[in-house]
Amino acid sequence: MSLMEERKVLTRERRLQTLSHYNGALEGLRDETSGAQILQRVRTLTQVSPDEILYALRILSTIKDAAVVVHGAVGCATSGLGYHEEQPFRWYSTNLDERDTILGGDEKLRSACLRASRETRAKVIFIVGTPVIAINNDDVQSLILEMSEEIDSELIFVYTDGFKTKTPLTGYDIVSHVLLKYVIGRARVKVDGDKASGAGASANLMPVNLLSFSENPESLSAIISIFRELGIPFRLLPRYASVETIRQAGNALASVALNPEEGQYLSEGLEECFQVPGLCLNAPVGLKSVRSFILHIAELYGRSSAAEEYVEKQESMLERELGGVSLAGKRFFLDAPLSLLPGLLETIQHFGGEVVGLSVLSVDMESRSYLEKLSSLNPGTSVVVANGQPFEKANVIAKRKADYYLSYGEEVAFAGEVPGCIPVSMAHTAILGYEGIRQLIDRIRDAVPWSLESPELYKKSWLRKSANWYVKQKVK
Amino acid sequence: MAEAIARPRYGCALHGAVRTLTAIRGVVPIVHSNAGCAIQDALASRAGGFGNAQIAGCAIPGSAVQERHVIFGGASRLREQIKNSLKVFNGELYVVLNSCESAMVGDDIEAMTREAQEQGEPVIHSLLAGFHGDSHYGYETVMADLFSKLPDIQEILPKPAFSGDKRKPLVNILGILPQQDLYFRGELLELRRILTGAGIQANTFFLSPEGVKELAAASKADLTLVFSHWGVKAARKLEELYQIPYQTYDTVPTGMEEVETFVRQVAGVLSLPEETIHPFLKRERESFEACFACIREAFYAEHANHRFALVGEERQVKQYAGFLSNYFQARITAAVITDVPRNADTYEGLPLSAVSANSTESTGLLSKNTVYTSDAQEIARVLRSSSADIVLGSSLEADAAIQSQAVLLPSSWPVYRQAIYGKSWSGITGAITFAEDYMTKGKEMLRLREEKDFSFKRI
Repeated sequence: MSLMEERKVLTRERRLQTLSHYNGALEGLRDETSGAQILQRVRTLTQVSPDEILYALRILSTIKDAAVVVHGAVGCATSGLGYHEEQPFRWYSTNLDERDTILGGDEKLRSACLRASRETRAKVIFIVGTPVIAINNDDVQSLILEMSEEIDSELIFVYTDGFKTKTPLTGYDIVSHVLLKYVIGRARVKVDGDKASGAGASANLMPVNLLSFSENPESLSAIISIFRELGIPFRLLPRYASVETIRQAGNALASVALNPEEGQYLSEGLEECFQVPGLCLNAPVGLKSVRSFILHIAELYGRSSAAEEYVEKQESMLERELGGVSLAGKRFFLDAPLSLLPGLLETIQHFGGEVVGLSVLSVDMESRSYLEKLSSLNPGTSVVVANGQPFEKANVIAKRKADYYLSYGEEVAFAGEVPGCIPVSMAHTAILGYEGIRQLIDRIRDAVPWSLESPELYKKSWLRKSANWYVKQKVK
Repeated sequence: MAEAIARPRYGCALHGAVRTLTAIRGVVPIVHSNAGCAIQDALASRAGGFGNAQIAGCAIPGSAVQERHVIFGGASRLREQIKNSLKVFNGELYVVLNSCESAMVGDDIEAMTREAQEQGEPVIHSLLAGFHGDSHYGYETVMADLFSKLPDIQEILPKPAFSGDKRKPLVNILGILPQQDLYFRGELLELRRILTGAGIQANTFFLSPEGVKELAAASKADLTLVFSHWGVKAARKLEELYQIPYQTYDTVPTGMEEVETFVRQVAGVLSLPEETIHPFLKRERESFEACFACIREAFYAEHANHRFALVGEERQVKQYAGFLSNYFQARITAAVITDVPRNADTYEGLPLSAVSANSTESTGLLSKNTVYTSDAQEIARVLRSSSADIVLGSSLEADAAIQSQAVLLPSSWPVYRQAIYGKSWSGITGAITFAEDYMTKGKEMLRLREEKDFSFKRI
């Protein structure tokens, strides 16, 4: 069955055998994920962590000309306040109460959608599923069909539920699927000589789709500036794109995901359904990958020599600025998506740092190849595969005596409780492109420990304990 | 029936409980829900720069239930989660919370909690699924549950003996909601300062490094002071269990007159002699008048008679309206109260009109112009027709303020691009801060008017 015929996308566990729980050595992880099957594990102790609903909302909240209706209790839409601060958007909650959980929330959904359409005049209204309606099995699609004649906005159901997948990356796949099927797929107008974004682009050049899901504005700015410098037309999506921009995604020279783990589904879908070739490039993190990324894309537009010149110039500048930096003797624990780790590892090691531990969100049949790119690491390097779970990371950081905890995310203060460790968050730092290398090193150099005492959340005995007693093989 | 809400500003009951519990040092909540429930609130809580002293966000233990737990039940998952949380997390009290999912599935939270208690562990539970109400409901329910269930584990808790001075009277403070009330820490600090100055000790629960001990000591208090209707449920529980009387206040006292009235009233209930409170009140008045005397010229020249609109919780709206009317002769053109109880016709048996009518004379206007809603679109409509110069509200009112050609003074949840950790607009020190912030905003408003009206200045 073609992708467009599927009603909804499979969870990552079913589609890619994604492993979300592991705590052990790198060597052991490679062994466990190298075969035809990746055995699932469970944790018997967990901390709360983002789910696929939040990951879906992270994308949907940035799409212009769209509105979001979160169909559930009022709390399921609360994260909108946080996303709204980053990027104002229009969202509603159907505010289901106990009565609705018993009798169904169809009427509330109907009135919320009508209201959203009337007040926002959004081109598309995304209806986000939540645990309550998943358990109740509310038939949202039937309601959408019923309402199709009476509402101007297009209604699209985003099949999230909060409990069928352990990895929130499924949320990106769900959003990608609905965009492919309902937004790009239904676009009737084929634009010839697509209008490109980016300075200096010729009007008749088709852009490359630059697929972004979790990159912060600093990283995006770093990559976009490269594209503009080289005059390469691009179309950023799905984040920060308008509905109209997304509709045009089927007309592109190629697609490339800034993080292959996140954007691969959308890239493959564009290729399968709209014949837009997907470029399988490493994330542009670290000198080698940045160079390769730029040269590959520039080649598509016959700009190879300009790109070579640009790369040489940038690398010389970096060498001049950062040539004297040394991280020798410093021990790092890296917490980042697996596809970014090779580049981060290269950068840290280039400056003499030692990586003593890693944490990644997940490993699956596609991303496991990145484990081979970590060959410069000792096979006994500690690895935690986890969605969040700072208690595990604290344990490893303490055992491995890491000097720095370098994290892709924002919640890093827990690492400061481990004596001698300085947390460094990359949440507001560019890590892509040459600017990413620059900012990353600056962040590390400027990092200082918290000067006051922190309350101890974890028992001291836990920090000494063997950390993997609670991660068990899943019983069939 | 609760309607759909545009840009909902409040979380669910579970979120209110999590915010309350994580603000009490020594308490570890254990959330029995799918993985992301508490993270919804963690993301929202960044508005205002909130963090917690001990546990917040991804650090909170949660059972992260999966599909198989929805189908077959998650009680065993909860059992192992409780057991292992006790091994890893430093807590003096562990509180198990349920969620929409676990309520719909019917997991027996009470049984799992009782198992842990029987093993001598300090674990209690609070049952409030998200669909039962919003975060205010979560606060009032979990506080009431804390007081009613702590006796069950009295023997296991840290000794509840209050470490303060036994010769001084002790009061509990309720009705100021952690994080929900933007300036909750500052307000509690100021209330504690005032009460201490008057010779009274205060259990604030959310300021102390020994929060659990203060919870346990609540039963020893002489009086409970309740500063919003959300604290009444827990206060009634203390009265029922321990015969501790309670006093309700519309607002946290702001400005010298209100503070003096408040102190005298509390001192009267506690039978404190005049000589205990008089020196403190005299010093406070001297400080207050010294600062406010400086405001006179600016008041007459620039800040008298502004029109303002208020958007916030009932207690905040009444408090700020009273202060601005009394000290700045400001005129209220619109008031929106956002913490509407779910059963919107009545609250705790009182009709809403009675709740709003229970206001001071200076805020009598509120009952005529007040709208009860937390819906962003309805609030925007009210503001656009308010002809206010200054809007006191949340950052969600920013666009509406601009459209009404008013300036926004952020005063209620959520507030963007600000970090608030100890500031308040209450009491004496808070009244001075409030005056500063209000007048600064007033200057901004005047500058914007000048730019618009006096274009000749740019030639």
